[in-house]
Amino acid sequence: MLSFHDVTKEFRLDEANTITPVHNVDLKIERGEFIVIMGRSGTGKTTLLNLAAGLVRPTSGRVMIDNVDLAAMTDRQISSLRSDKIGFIFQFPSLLPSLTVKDNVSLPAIFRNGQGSKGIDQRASGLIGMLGLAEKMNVYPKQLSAGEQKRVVIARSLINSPELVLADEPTSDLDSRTEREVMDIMRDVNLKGVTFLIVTHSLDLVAFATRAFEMEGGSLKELR
Amino acid sequence: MQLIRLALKNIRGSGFRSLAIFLAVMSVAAFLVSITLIIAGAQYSLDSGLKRLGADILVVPEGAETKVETALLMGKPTEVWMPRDNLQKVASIPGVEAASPQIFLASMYNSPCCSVSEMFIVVYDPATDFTLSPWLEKNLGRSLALGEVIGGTYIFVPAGSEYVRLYGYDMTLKGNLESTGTGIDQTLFMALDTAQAMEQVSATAAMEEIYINPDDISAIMVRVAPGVDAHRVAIQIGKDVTGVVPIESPKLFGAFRNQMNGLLWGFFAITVIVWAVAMGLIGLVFSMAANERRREMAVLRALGGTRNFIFRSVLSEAILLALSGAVAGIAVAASSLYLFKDLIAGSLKMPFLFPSIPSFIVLFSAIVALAIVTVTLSALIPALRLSRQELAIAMRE
Repeated sequence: MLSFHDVTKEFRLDEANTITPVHNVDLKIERGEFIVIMGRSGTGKTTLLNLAAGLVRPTSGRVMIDNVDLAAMTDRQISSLRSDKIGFIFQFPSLLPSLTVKDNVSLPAIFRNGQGSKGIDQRASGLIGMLGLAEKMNVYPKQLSAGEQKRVVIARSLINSPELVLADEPTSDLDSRTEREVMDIMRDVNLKGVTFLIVTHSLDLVAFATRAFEMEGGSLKELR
Repeated sequence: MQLIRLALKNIRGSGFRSLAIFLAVMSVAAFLVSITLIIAGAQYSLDSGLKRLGADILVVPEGAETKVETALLMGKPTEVWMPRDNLQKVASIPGVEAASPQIFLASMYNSPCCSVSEMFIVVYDPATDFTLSPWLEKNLGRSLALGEVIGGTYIFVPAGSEYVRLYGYDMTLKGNLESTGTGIDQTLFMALDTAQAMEQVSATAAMEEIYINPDDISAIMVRVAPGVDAHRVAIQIGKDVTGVVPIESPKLFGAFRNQMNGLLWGFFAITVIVWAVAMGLIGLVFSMAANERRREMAVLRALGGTRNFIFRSVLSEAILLALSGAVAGIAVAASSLYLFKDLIAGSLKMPFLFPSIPSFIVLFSAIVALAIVTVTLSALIPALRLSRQELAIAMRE
């Protein structure tokens, strides 16, 4: 499904200094896996996710989805791949404040061709209901708690029926009960065949993983 | 949810920013429409007035040009005289197809007939007239009988009366000419026999007697023969007839036109400056908005939006704001001008007539197009910057 082949990513700070958040990473993720990559802040976890989504290009090595090298794709092709195959859960608040919960959840569907608005509407309502927010369908993000916002983001990541969900600190800022709820939801979705790649600094999430890794200094070490 | 709907929701969601851009576009569009409509309205009014006069050349006593122009332009009554003999001299000049005399009179001050304190009265000779007669033939099917008059748009019969009473003489108002926005709208037209009857009655019935010297006239309306150069005929009139000035129709109101052209250039310069400032301000607002929205746009890209989508999304917001601002500006300016046209024309001392519907459509389309192009250009660089930003960096901000 997703593979990293000796991937390195460097960022040039100025003429003399570069940083290397991802260093010679090799990782192969099979369809239906639930991968958790753990690590402290600044160890390159988010950069690894951005590489997986084609949001940044590797300095060296190859990132492949379904055996297609992301670096060889045009902007249109990679955007299409993201809308068709990838769901994104961001670490930061990423809901558009001007859109209601339902419109936020429906948003990725506008980038995917061949979906009627009625079908999108039904699917968005279904996902919102599944995540227990049916009564909050028409409210705006600022009217939601942090946990509710996170659930909306999960619903949004699933609207296009992705094969792969990339989640960056999906349980940060959540209390332990809400963290548990969010992880249960993602695990349920995973059991339906959706692949998950989660990066987190929380050791607790490792318990949910089919495979877990630790990231340090840009390199990966398998935990189990 | 399509691009336009998303743009509309973003506009609504960014209330202050959207309002600032909307108001800027609305103000500039309103300013531009007002200036253009006033100038175009004055021009249209002059053209309609000239068409109403229906003469190729207007011959007036030497030195009376300004008085006559002011009377025709603003409806301010004037009484100017020249010998009736001039009519024959003018009529005999080669190239003159028709020449008809007119006599200019004024009503008494504050006559109850009129919307103005003093009304301009034009007396024509039905035997030779070619300016009003076609209108009468078309609208009444006949010429005016004794005691009948026609008026400009603003001439009316006083409430409770069936007649227009001037100098103690009652006359029937048989119709009103179409609006021209000039002094013609406040002018009363009567045939020579009616004027003479009014003169006779005034001796006994009026507070102030009116006297019309049978040997004098005020102006001669001249129509040149088809294919003849009116300019040459005017020169010949100037040479052959002493004590008169021939004014060619296109040159009538020349001083006013020059004044209007000066105003036009002044307004144009102000408009360009205001537009440039507004464009800079709108560009600044979009740039500030672009900085605020870097992460939001990066999220859209991560969710599957192409660079092109981001670019079009920002421009769509700009176009929608420009469109709504321009339409609102046009509506505000046009309705204000329509409601206060008399006040504005009076205070600017210029004639005014609302341009025709097709002219309106052309003007409005041009201003809407200008607003859209301007705002789109202002938003172009921010839109390009947002569509080409480094996503990983934008998402970390």
